[in-house]
Amino acid sequence: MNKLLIVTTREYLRNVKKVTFWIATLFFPLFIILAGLVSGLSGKVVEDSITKSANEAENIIVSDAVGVINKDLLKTDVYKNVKLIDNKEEGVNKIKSGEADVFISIPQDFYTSKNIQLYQQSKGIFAQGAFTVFADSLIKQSILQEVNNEDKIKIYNSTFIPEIISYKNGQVVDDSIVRLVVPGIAVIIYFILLSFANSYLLASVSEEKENRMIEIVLTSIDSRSLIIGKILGQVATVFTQLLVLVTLGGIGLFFVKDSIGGIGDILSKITISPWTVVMAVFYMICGFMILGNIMVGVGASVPNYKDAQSFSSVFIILSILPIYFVTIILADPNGLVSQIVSYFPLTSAMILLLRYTLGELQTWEIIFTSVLLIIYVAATFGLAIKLFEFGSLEYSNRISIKNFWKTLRA
Amino acid sequence: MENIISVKNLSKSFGGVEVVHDLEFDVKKGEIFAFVGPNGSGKTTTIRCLLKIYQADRGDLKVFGEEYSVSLAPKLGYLPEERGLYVSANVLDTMIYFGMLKGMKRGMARDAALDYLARVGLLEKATQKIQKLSSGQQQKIQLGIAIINSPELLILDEPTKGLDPVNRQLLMDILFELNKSGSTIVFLTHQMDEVEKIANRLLMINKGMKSLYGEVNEVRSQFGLNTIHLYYQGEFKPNPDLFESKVEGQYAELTPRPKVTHDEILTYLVKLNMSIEKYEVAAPSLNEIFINVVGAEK
Repeated sequence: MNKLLIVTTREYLRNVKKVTFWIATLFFPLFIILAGLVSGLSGKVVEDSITKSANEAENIIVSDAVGVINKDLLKTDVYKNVKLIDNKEEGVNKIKSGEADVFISIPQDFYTSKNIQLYQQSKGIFAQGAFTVFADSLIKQSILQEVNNEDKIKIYNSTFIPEIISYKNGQVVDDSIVRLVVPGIAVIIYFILLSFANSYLLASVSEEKENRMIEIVLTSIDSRSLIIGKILGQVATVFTQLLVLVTLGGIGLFFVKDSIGGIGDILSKITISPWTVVMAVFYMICGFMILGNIMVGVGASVPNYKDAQSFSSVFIILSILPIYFVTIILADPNGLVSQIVSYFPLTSAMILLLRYTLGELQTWEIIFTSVLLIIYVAATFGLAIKLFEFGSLEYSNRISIKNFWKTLRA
Repeated sequence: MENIISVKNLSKSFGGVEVVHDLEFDVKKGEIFAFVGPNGSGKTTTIRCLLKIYQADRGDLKVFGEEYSVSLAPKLGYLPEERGLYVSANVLDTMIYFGMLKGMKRGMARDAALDYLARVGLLEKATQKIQKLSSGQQQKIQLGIAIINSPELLILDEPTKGLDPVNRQLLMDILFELNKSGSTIVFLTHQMDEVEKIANRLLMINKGMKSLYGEVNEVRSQFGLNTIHLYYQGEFKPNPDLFESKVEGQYAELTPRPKVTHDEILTYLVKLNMSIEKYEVAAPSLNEIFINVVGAEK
């Protein structure tokens, strides 16, 4: 078997055989599903409790100092349990004595203060707002009755569906949320690749040094093949993770697409061209390689994994920095900030990926930045190999920049 | 006889300090070659340069007649001084991995690993994680990795470091077996008793330079038949006017002072309150030579 393949296979199997790998892989989607379930369940419990409280209220009394409540409305099914009383004091007393479930007091200064008071039997913290919507609806529907036009009332109560047509430089452009789905997914995949694979890679390089295996390894395989094998092994590991995530996500979408309004619509509007896939994969690989090469250099430069983790965090933070100002980039994909981070080695792949999938890169930019990314990858790889060859035998020491520079020059 | 290793004019510096200076030696096919010298003398650096782990500043270094490259890995076994194991991996997987890196097929590597584990009494540990093994057991695995491919050339840097006497003997037996089956063995050490036991030839270096080189017996005879080996019972009293002495239990190695004869020393010894069990005049031990050479060059 080819030595590169031997190293790749070992790295891959070593990762996927670990229980912690599967915990980390399954934890994320399971956490989302569990959090969704818990949140949905508790939301439903609260909603049920509120609805129950509202439905069970048989005695709703209202004192209306300004005469805003429409008496005809109180004859309808929805508001049949509402009774008007003359004064506030009587209402409060009925609540105190338990004769009424809720008392809505509309004060004299209602038109200016817009305040009302709700007196109710306590049903717990979450049921506290059970009658707020009811009171709001009672007043607004009462006012609407004055309009006395059924169509207008229907329109008032409906939700508008706007059709948005945006123009940029005289051309219609797509600014819908659908446009963000592909870039969003691409950036999430890139982020997972970056964080998981590079952390595996760092551990793998540090392991050679920490376990004092590097001399035996380097007499059997050249450092270039060893590092490429390690990188491929970690990429294969992350693709396994992605496959699991995508499969779980697909299963989840299949079940919820009809129950959650809008998702089915959004999915049906997404079209991904083969070129988008090719370029997205290209940007991801370049971004991963640049940071991966830096991780190799870091792993070889310090004595152990713990030190390597601290040292590498600087580079990881720099490479995910664009996430913190993603709204600026999305708002103006060709603005100054976007341009600057498009050319900075640690951030360029991610930003270019985002801008490309948003359709904001011109052809010359695509060509120029692609060449630039390849140069970044080659330069960091060359540096990583040198650092690895120089640093991996410095078992207990951090490498000296001065000595490393001398070696580079030699 | 064919040279398996040939080193000519090797020099290597670190940060302006020359660690190996103009070193030259050969290792012949089928021999057990001892590479000795005090700590920091340049032994490990020489081997690292030979195996291209370090780049030599100067010199012509050949292994199997060519500069070392990983294409020669199938013929090489190497146990470095700084050695460890992938502690979180299991024993058999680790051995198979290195077997395959040395060009073996998976099945062959697996068979060889299992044979070796059985030979050293660790077969039942094959599927265990290395971190669960004792340090002695881990050292056996390290040796196993070095010899899994039945190498034509085996280079061992301080192979007995940290081994108990039983495991040291086991290692020696394995080395003899390998040598018998045709492997050339180079071992780096400063344990002179090991050299006397198994080596055919030796190279002693000090401060990166060659001090002694040749067959073990030749090297010893270069230092003359001037050492008295004395085995006794009772109390031994040194006499610095007559000889320098080194005592270990009921054994003493005496080196006469200049112009002092063996008869004078024997006369002195007879007068002591002790019984002499064995009195022998022979070549100095390698240990003595080592101390003399290294001491003289300090």
